[in-house]
Amino acid sequence: MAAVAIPLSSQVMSTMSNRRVPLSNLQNATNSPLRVVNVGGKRQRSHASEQRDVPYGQPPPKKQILEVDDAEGRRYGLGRRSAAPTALQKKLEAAREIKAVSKQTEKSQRVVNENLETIRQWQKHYRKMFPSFVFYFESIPDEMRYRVSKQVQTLGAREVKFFSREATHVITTRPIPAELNTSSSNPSSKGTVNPAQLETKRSVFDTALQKTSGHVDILSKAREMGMKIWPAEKLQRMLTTMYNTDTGEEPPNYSTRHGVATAQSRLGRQADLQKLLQNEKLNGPLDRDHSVATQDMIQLRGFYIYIHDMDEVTRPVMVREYPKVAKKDEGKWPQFRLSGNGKCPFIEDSHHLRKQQQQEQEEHRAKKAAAAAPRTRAAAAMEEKRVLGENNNIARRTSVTSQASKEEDTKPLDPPKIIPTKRTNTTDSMPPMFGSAQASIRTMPRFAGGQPVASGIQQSNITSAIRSQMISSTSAAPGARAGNSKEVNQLKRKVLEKNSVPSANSGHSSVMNDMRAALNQESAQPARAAKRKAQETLGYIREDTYPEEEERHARKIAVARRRKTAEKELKPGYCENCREKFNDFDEHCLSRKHRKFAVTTDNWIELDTLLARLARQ
Amino acid sequence: MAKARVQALRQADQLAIHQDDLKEEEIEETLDESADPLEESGRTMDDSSEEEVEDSVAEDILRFEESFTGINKRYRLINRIGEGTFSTVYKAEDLEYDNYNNRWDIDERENRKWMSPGHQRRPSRRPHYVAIKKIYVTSSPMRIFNELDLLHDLKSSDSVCPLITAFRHLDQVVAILPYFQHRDFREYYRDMKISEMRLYFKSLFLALQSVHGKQILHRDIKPTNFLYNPQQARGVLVDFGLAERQGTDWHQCACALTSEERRYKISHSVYAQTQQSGHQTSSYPKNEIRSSRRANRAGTRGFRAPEVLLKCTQQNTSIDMWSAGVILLTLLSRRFPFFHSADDIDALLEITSIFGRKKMKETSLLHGQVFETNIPSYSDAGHSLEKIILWCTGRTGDKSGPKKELDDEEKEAVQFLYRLMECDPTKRITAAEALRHPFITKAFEDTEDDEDMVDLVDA
Repeated sequence: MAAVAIPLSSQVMSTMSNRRVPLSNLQNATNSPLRVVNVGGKRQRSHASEQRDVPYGQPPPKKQILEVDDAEGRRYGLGRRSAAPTALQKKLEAAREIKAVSKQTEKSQRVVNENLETIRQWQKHYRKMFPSFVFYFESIPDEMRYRVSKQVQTLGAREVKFFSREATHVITTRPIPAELNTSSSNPSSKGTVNPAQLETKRSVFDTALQKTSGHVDILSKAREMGMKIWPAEKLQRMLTTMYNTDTGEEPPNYSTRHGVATAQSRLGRQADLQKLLQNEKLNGPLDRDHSVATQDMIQLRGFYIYIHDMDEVTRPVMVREYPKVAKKDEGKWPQFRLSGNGKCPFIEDSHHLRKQQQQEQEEHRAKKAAAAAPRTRAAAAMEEKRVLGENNNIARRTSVTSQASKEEDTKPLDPPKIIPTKRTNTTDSMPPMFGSAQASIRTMPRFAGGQPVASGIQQSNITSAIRSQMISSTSAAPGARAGNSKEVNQLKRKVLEKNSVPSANSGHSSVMNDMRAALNQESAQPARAAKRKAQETLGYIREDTYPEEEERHARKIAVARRRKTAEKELKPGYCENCREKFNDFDEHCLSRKHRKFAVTTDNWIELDTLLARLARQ
Repeated sequence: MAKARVQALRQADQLAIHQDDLKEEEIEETLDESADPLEESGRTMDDSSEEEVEDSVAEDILRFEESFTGINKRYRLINRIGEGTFSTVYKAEDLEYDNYNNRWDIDERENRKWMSPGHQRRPSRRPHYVAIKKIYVTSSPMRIFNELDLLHDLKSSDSVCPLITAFRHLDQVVAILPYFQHRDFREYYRDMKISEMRLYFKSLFLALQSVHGKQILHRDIKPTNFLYNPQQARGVLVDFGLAERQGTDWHQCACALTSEERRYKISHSVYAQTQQSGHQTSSYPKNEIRSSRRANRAGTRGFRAPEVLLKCTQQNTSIDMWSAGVILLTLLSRRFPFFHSADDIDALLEITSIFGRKKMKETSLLHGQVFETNIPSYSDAGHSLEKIILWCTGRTGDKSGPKKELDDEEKEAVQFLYRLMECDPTKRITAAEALRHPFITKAFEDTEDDEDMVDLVDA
C-alpha cells in the first residue's frame, strides 16, 4: 500500500519549498488535476467510495436549479451530495413536479379551441422556417424596420442591408409585382392561403407601370430571382401571430436563445466558433423545435437576483428568486431591519421590537395624561429609532392601539401600519411556525464561540463537511465575558446545543422540516442547508423555553448525557488525506486507511523538511 | 475502567487548573509591579476562561495529550481557547521556556526595558504561556505546509503572530505560537472612541503592510483574527490557515484589463448584444452544462470583498483591505456583526443594500459579470455611509428636531471608510497608503502627544 505514494509529488513539493504551489495541485485535493492520474491504484479498491467522492470534484450538471453553486449550501452537503436524494429533496422534487404537471393540464384545458391548435401548428411550422429566412427590407420606414428586424432576428432569421442573391424574402410597403409564373416557386400556395396576400395583390397594370419607370426595380428583380415578396403588413401580422401567447407559447424564452445567436451572426464574426458552440451548448441547436425548447429555460418571475457571465461562458454566479410579496419589508431577501443597538442591522430583533412597543404604549399613556405637554423623553427616544429616511423597508411594527394615536406624525413613506405581530397576517397564510421559518432562519448565523466562522474554502475542497464538524464539535467557548449581550451569550450556547443535534435528535424534527420546507417553497435554499438551518432554529426555540435559572441545570444534564454517549456523538467531515467523507472524526482517524496514511513517511517528507527549519532554538 | 481512569485524571487536571488560577492572579500582580506605563489603569486583561474548564474540554485535552506522545513534557495544557477552521487552539504553559531563545516574546522584551538592571539578570519565575494550535489530522500535509511556510516567511514582521516552533507526531501537527493577551472585540466594539480606532487600525495596517509586502493575502481578516490589546495599542494578526500567495491559481479576469479594453469587451459581449436585440426577460437554463466559474472564496462571511463574492479570478491583497473596512464599519456603527450573510448571495445583497444597484452593476461588470435584480428594497444610488452610521447609532428619524450629524472625527473616519470599502479593488486604498492617510497619521500624533505628556510629568 506504500504504492499510494505519488510519483509527481516530490517534484511538486520541491518547487514548493520556495513558492507555494496552488492548492489545486495538491494530489489529495479532489479538484486537483493530478488526482485522477495518481490515484488510480487506490481507487480501484472500492467503487463505492469513488461514487461517493465524485461530487467533490467539479460537479456534473447539477439538477439543483435555483441555488447555483452555493458554497454555503455545500457546507452541509453530506447527505445532499450523496447519490441518493434525501427525503427532503425527494419531497421538493415531487412538489415541483406536481406543480409543473398541473400547470400543463390547466393549459391544455384552456386550449380546447381548435383554432388555437391550428395556430400552434402554424407557429411551429414557421418557427422552424424562420432561421432559414434572409430578409431584405425595401421602402420600409426606418423606425418600423428597426423594430421588425429585431423581431425576425429573435426568431432566428437574418437581415441583409444590401439587396443580393442571399435574400430569401423581400419585405416592402410598395405594391408587389405579379408573379412571373405560378409554378412551384411559391410554397405558400400549397398551404393555407394567407388572405393578406390576396388583398394586397395589385393589378398587372400597376406592375407594368413600375416596369416602365426606367431603372430595374428591386421588386421585379426579386421576383425574377425567385425571392418571396411580402407586404410589410403580412410580415407584421405573422410576427404578431408568432408571438401570440394564447397558445401557451412563451416567446421570450427562445428570444433569449436566438437573440444571442443572431446577435453574433449580425456582428459578422461567425468565425468565433467557440462562442457559437458555447451558445449552442447552452441554448441548443439553432434549428431545433423551439416549442419544446421553452421548457429548458427557467424564467425569473418573482423578485430575483441574477448575476451571470456577460459572455455566458460560465454558469451564473448567483441566481436566487424570492416570492413576490405585497410589501417589500416582508420580502425574505436581506434588507435593513429594525434592530436594537449593537445588533446586526440586517436581522429583525423581536426583543427590541417588543421593547419598542412597550415604549410606544407608555408614550401613548403619557400622551393621554398630558396631551399638551412637551415631547417626552420616551417619545424622543422613540423617534430616534426611526429608520433611514426614505428607506421604508425597516418596518416599524407597532400595536394597533398605539398606532392610532401616532397617526398624525408618521411619515408618508412609512410602511403600512397594521402588522400587529410578525406571525399573524402573513400573506402566505401559513401556520405561524411555517410562515416565519425563513425569517428565523435568517436570524441564525453560523457562529463559533460567538464569532463568525471562516468558510468558503474552495481550493483544496476541504469542504464544508469538516468545517461543520468543527463547529459542531464540543466547543469550549471562552467563558462569559463582561459586557457580552445576552444574545452573544445565547449564540455561544447554541454552539454547544448544536452538538447534541446531529445524530440523535435530527430524527424527530426532520418531518417537520420537510413539511416546512415544502410549504415554504424553499426552493431557493439548498435542501440540506435549509434542513440544517431549520434544525438550528428548532434548537433555538427549544432552548428559549428554558427559564434563566433552569438553564444551567439543563446544560449540566446535557454535558452528562453527552459524556455517557460520547462514543455515539458523531462528528462527520471530510478527510483531505484519505479523500473520504466520514461519519465520525474520531472513528475515521483510527481507521486502517488513515493510520496507513499517518505512518507512511513519504507523505510527510516535505513537511518535515520545513519543520526541521522551524525547530526551536 | 477506562472511564474511571479518565475521570480520575480529569479531577487531577481540574485541581491543577485550580492551582493555576492562583498562579494567574500572582502574575497579574507581578505584571502590575513591572510598572508598565501603558498599564497605569491597573486593569487586568485576564481572560476568564481560566476559571472554568468544561468537562468536555478537559476530556478533549486529555485525549490530545494521550495521542501526542511527549507533548506534556514540553507544555502543560490549560484550556481550549479557540477553534479555527482547521484547528483547535489551546492555552498552555511553556515548560521549557528557559531552555530556548525567546526572541518572539514581545512582552518579555518590553518588560525587560522597564526593569531595573538587577531584575533583568534574574530568570523570571512566572509561568510563560503559549498557544498550541492543533491542526486537524484531516488536513493535508500540503495545506499545513502552506500555513507554516507563510508564517515562517513572515517571522520578521512585528504585528504578525510569530511562529515559535512546529512539530509533528504521526499525522498530528502542532504549531506553537505566543499566547497573546488581548481583549475580546465584543467587549469594546460598542464604545470604542475614534482616537482608539486610529490606534487599532494603525496596528492592523502595519500588520497588513508587512503581509501584503510579501505578496501574501491573509484572506480572513476579522476581529477574531486580530488579537488587539487596547492598553498597549498593539495587536497581532493570527491564523494564516487560509492565506495564500498572490497570483496563486490566477486566470484572466476582466478587472485586470485596462478600462478601454474592458469597455470594448463589455460592448462586444453576448450580453450587450442581447440587450441590443431588445430582449428583456431574464431566464437561465434549467439543465446547466456550463462549468462554474472557479475562484478562491475562502474567508469569513460578512467580511468577503465584492470581488470575492463575484468570483473574481485575479484577487489580490486588496481583499484584506475591504475586510478591514468592514471592521471599521462595525466599530463606527456599533453593530456586530454588521453583515449577517447567511451565504454569498445574501452577502452581496447586503452590500447592495448599502451601495445601491448602480454601483453593484458597475462592480460586477468589472469582473465580467452582469448584475440584475428587481428586488424593491435596493435603491439605485444606495445610501451614504454617513446615513447608515447615523441610523445604526439611533441618530436619524426625527425630522422636526435639529438635524443630527456625525461629529468631525466621525466624518474623517467615514472618509477613510469610503477608501476601504471601495467596491473597485483597483481604487481601494492599500495598507501602505492607509498608513499615510490622515485618519491613521493622527494616531501617531496622538501617541507622541501622550509621550510628551509623560515626559512633562516626569520632568
